[in-house]
Amino acid sequence: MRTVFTMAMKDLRLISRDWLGMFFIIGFPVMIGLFFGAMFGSVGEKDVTLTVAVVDEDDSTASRQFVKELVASGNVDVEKLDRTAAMDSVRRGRLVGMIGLPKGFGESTGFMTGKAPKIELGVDPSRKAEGAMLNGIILQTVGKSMFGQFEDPATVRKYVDQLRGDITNREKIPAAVQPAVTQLTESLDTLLAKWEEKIASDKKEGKKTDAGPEFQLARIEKIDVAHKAEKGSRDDLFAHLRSKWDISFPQAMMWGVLACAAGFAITIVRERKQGTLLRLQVAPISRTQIVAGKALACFIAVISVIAMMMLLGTWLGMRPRSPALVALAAVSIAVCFVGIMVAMSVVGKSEESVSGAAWTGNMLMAMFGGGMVPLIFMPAFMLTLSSASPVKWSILALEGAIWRDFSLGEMLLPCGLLVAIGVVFFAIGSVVLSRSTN
Amino acid sequence: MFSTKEVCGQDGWLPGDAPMIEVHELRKSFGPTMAVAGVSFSVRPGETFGLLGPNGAGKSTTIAMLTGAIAPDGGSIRLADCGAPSEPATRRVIGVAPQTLSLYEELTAAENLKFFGRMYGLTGAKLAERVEWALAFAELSDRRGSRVNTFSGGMKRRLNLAVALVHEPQVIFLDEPTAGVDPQSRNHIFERIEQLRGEGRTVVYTTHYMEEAQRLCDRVAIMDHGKILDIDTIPALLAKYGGRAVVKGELVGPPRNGVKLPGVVDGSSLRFESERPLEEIAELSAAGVAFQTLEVARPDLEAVFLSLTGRSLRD
Repeated sequence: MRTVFTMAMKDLRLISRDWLGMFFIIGFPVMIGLFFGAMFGSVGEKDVTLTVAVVDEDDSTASRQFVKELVASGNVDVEKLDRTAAMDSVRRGRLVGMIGLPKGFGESTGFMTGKAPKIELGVDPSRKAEGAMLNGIILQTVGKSMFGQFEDPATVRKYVDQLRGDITNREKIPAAVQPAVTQLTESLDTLLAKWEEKIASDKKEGKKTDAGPEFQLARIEKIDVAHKAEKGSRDDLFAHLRSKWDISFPQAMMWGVLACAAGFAITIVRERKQGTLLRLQVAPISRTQIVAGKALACFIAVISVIAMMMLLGTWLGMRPRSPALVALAAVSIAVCFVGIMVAMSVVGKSEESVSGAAWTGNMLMAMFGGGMVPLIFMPAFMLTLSSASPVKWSILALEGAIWRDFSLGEMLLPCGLLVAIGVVFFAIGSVVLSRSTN
Repeated sequence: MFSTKEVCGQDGWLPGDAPMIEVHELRKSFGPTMAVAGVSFSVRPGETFGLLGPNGAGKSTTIAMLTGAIAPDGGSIRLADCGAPSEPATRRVIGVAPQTLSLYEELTAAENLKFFGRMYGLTGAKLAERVEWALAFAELSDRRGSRVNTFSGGMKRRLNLAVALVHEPQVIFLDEPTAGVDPQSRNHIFERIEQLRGEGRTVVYTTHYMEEAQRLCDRVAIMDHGKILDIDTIPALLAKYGGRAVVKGELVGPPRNGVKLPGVVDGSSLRFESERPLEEIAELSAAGVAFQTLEVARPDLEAVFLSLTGRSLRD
């Protein structure tokens, strides 16, 4: 086993020093994944957000609270900029609009100020619909900020104290009304004391308090108006997607796997041509060990490519549903393409012929198997044809584990087929390789 | 000198008692082409044995069968008491420097040596020691970390030879080890092979350069068209097939005292053949024959090959 491992490490070192080979194994798949992922746009993303600039010239507690509420709405992505940069970004079309909070915004916020807070809104003229949506979001945020004040007993107490002071200082309030007003403020004091007591008690018990009033402009409930998609249909599959990378990354991983298979197939014929295979053949190791060394190197490379792409995809937002099934898919794919690699290596006598044949085979497998057009977008007849390509079963296994939510039983078909294909091709390739070196 | 006991771990062999390599009626065809047609020979322990013949004579195919790289169609090969070259125990005692530069160009000199050392079971301190030895042998210690694709042809040839020796083989097969190298590197390789000879290792050496065979080999097998035409020591081959030495000279003047000149006289030029040229020239000088120029062409393996096949080695 040590000999096989030593040979595999040598092959991995050789391939890592081939910059063009490394580009096709890592660089190209990353490009494919990012390019197609970007093309799929908002597939799998449930909510659309507006990106706006906020120019906070007031920089008060109230203005900061407003921005916080704006972000919390979940509908807006905020970039804090100065006025010039904000207006420039909107003018260039990079941002939907700009929201300005001028000096004095905080002082005019609240019920007792007697004036409405001033907010500036600049919108890209070509995006009126989004501008109107932004207008609504601002109003909703202001309303929430206003009502939010009544959810805090300390703020309410401030208003009550202000009211009491105003009444006390007013000489023209009729004497008959004064006891009623005094009774009102005392009742409010009692209410606030009970409210504060309840908050303190809830806090002590460590539970979220439900004390105090809850204000809402309106209670809007979202209802699902979409028709129920048939199970297994394209719409049903789309409903499973959680990220735009869910489709593009399995596809991209396969380009890396194909590059590994072609790259290692070429190394076998290269060894023969440069004479190192002869050295290995006369060493006290068996031909099985020589082939096993190549196979192990290719296996490690395939697993590494899939793992690296999974990490990148996850970092970008892909959320595999089952890491265990992803591992099962990766191992099955590696077995399959190790077998294909060994078979590819015997189709020609020179590097050029093996390389040409390997990439032609790869292109056909990718074209029909979903490496170019994702399986989910394929018409029915193409989908039927694609069953002949190991790339289709590989992508299906990866997608099953990443977003199609396959059970272990459902994974057995693609994974079983991949392993079977790998074993058959490995056997054919090994026999031909053994005969050709005699 | 190495014994079979050291080589294969078996008793019952004394140096000189039995051949290190024994080949009997070896045959190999590639399609309709008979590459090796019933070759038989034996090589003694510590001997440097040459296979001399033109390109396509069957030398490399013979080496490939001797090293187990390809299986013969017929005949038998035995290496000392180890058995056939397909046996792992036999392969451990064999070192091969193929005609093609069999190196990983993207690996460094040290990485190549380490890798092939590991293939022969070397590990740890022993591997490190042998790698150092091999780098020094190839005079590449200062380039140990350089990738092979940055080496000159001569450096690659030296490393190709060093890789064959990293596991301390007792039988070494060198298939045209000087092909395509400059005279300086060629001389370096000759010195290294002479060093191996001095250590008592058995060397099988193929070449189509007669001067290499004459310098390095104890015995030579002349091969052509897949057959061995004769095997013997070089003096014996020269005696059998080389013919007599040819003496050519320009006379200072006509011979005095009626001295009878041998061979053909054309004006002042003299040409004659002799089995003992120096003695005959001395006798002529004593008789008063004076030479302006004198050239003695002794028979060589080229002449032997010409005599055996009717054509030149370079044809």
